Amino acid sequence: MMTAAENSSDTDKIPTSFPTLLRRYAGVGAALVALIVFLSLTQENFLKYNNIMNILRTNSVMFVAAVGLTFVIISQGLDLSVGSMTALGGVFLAELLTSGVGAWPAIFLTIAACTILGAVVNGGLIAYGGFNFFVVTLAMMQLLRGAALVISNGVPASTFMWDPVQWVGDGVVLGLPVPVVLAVLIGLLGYAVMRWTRFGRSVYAVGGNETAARLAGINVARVRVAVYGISAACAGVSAIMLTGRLTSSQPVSAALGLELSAAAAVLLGGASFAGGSGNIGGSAIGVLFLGVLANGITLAGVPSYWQGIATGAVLIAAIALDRIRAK
Amino acid sequence: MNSDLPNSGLSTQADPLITATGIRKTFGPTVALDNAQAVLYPGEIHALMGENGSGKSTLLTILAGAQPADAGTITLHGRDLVGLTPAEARARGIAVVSQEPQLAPALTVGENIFLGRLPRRAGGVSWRETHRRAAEILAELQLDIDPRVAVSTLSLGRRQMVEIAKALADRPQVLLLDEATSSLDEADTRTLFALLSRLRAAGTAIGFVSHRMTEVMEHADRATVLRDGQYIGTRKLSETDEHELVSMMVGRDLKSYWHKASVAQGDALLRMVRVARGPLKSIDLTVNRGEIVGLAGLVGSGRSALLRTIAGVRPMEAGEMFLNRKAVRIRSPRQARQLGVGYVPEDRKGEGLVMHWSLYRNAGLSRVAALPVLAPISERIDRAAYAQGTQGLKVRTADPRQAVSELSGGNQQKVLIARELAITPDLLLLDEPTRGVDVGAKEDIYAQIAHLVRGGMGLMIASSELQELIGVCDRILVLFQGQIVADIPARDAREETLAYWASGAHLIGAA
Ligand SMILES: Nc1ncnc2c1ncn2[C@@H]1O[C@H](COP(=O)(O)OP(=O)(O)OP(=O)(O)O)[C@@H](O)[C@H]1O
Ligand SMILES: [Mg+2]
Repeated sequence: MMTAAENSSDTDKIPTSFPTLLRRYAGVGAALVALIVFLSLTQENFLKYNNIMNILRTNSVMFVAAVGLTFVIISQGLDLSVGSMTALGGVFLAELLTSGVGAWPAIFLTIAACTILGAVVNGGLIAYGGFNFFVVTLAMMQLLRGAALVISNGVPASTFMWDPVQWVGDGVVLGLPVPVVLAVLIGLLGYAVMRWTRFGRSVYAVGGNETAARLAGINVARVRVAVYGISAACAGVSAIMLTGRLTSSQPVSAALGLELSAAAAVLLGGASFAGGSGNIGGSAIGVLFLGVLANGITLAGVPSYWQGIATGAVLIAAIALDRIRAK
Repeated sequence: MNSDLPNSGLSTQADPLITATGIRKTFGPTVALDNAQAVLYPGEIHALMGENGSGKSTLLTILAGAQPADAGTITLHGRDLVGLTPAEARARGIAVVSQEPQLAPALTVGENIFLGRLPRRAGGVSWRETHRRAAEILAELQLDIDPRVAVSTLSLGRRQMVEIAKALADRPQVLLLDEATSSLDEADTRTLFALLSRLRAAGTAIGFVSHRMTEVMEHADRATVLRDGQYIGTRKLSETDEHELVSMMVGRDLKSYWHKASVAQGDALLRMVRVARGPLKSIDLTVNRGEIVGLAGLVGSGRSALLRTIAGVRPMEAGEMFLNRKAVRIRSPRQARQLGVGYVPEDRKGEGLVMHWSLYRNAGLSRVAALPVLAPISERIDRAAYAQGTQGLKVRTADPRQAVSELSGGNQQKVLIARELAITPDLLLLDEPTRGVDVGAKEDIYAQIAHLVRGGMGLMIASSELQELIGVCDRILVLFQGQIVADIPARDAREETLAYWASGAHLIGAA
């Protein structure tokens, strides 16, 4: 009777103190450490500065997307349109640049356009239209990728000539890759908002018990619009970073499946589709784990086709472990 | 074992049907049960009593096999039951109606009743059979519920009746009810006890937990009292009185149950003129500052609907509403709160608390929600809200950082009330505020409320416990089919009068 329900809700407890936090992330965190130790011992190239920077740089896009998705998943939703939004953002950016808009305004406009699109269409339909988030964002995933193809005719456009875009995607600041610095800043901002603002608390409340949140005076619809807007804004930033790194927009292949790998990282990091739990620190660990795993697979010379299998297996193992620990 | 029960005269011949002795159960640092015991005979109605958090629900879950005891023995027909699982308990004829709703809201009533054991026929489930048998059981409970509707469409009270129907579907020989009547109205409660006496006559052993003294005094044959997880004693009802039972529960004498507020009343705080919405038809009422107004009525009479309209959950469709003499149109709970209205909904688990949050966070929710969107917050706000809100409520917890889901039902209710007290509203709306709250704690809650009312707050309380309404309110409004049919000063009110108006008997008399 009551125990069954209560045990499962135990797994969703929001970490408040350090010990609970430790218990919560011990699983993935420990696995990450073990993986790092294992790779350092078996792969001589693993601990090289270049390799580490490479891991961080390639995964900064996924991390930024994961920050946005963390908000959405904690609010008991999901945004499947993140990857397509990133691709469309890249195309939009390239269009602006080639039509003569300055690089910084173009960057700003791209992020703004993505945010508005996510907030108004995804957020609006879900929060005010009463549509299911899965249906809406699945449709948007198709629609946005289609729009990217239509606008670009499916042809990549080079952004090579615009320095700031390159700089965001591939530059160096203070000896660190710009995308990594940017990802860390966005992560810290997201963490602070989730943890120390009234808005962050409402996201947890809406995900934890939507009705209770509404009756307690939280404007649930507005929170939902905001989280889908945030997710799209993060996709917009990802778009700039990715386009800069690839030196071109890639309407067909950019960020393909990004939403799913980012969601996997968020779940690995302790969030659950039941809503109300998770945090950005956890998502960072999740992204790092998947990134290091992929890197290890490459270094070990295993065909990269195995990456999907490894990710899936790890995800199931992590969630199973969590269940067992909650018992 | 019978030596413990010198008075168990009612079935001296029979052996105990089910016994639990020396039961111990801990949750981390919390000792929920310590040498607890209960002995149930066939053909008796046995009340299990104790304050909130005394271990009643825990004992029942152990008897139902839902969780193992750390120590102690359970016997059925004199045979030891070891490693009991829920399925086994059910197979052996032990059925439980638990304190918190366990139904799957999306499934139909019939599906819920037979969940896990749907009638089969070649090739799958027989839905005809499911619904036919569900209808049979519902009819036995005199319930006018279609087994084909989804549970989510039913009120809390109706859901509770479905839970009971579910327990009865197995024709159990031991039936355990954990505060099954707490969300039922008088009529359903009567139906339920009539059914229980029929089951008793057929030899069923019935154990029930209730915080309603009158119910226990009227229907139980014997009562076992727990305090702090320990067995205090068992009494035959014919040989004890309310006073003795309460002092066994509390470990001290309670002087009075209620604190009558009777404060000098101030200006009109809330005025409603011909307000209508859904089930509500033309509501006129006034609540003054310093006044406690009770809402009586059957389930479905519109008590909850009225509170929900004021709270902005379902905005009014017609009429006028004034708060502090200003005309208002409340369209959302958020707006209601900005106008100084606090609201404690009836369903604490579904609509009140975030179950996996800590006590602190839950207590802080309304206060935090009132802040501007990007306002910085910290644990300190929650702690301050908790400290202010729980003042005088004596919440029993190992640590306020634990999840509210780990609290006993009554203590969860106190946290929900504390959440609203923490925002010191002008007008506080309470829907069944003492559901599942023990006698001592009711006193604490009402004492605290009386204190706030003295500060000029206005209060509306919907409750199906008429005695309680009479005890705490200044004035009682009786609703019948969405209309206020009586407005009675509490000092003149008697339970029979309220029940008369609530049942619509005045209409029959007129016809
Ligand atoms: N899953 C759990 N985890 C931690 N503590 C628990 C858990 N379940 C119960 N407790 C604790 O055990 C004690 C007894 O709880 P129980 O629910 O049995 O009380 P109760 O007598 O049914 O009270 P009420 O009248 O309020 O329903 C309480 O202190 C409660 O906090
Ligand atoms: Mg209980």
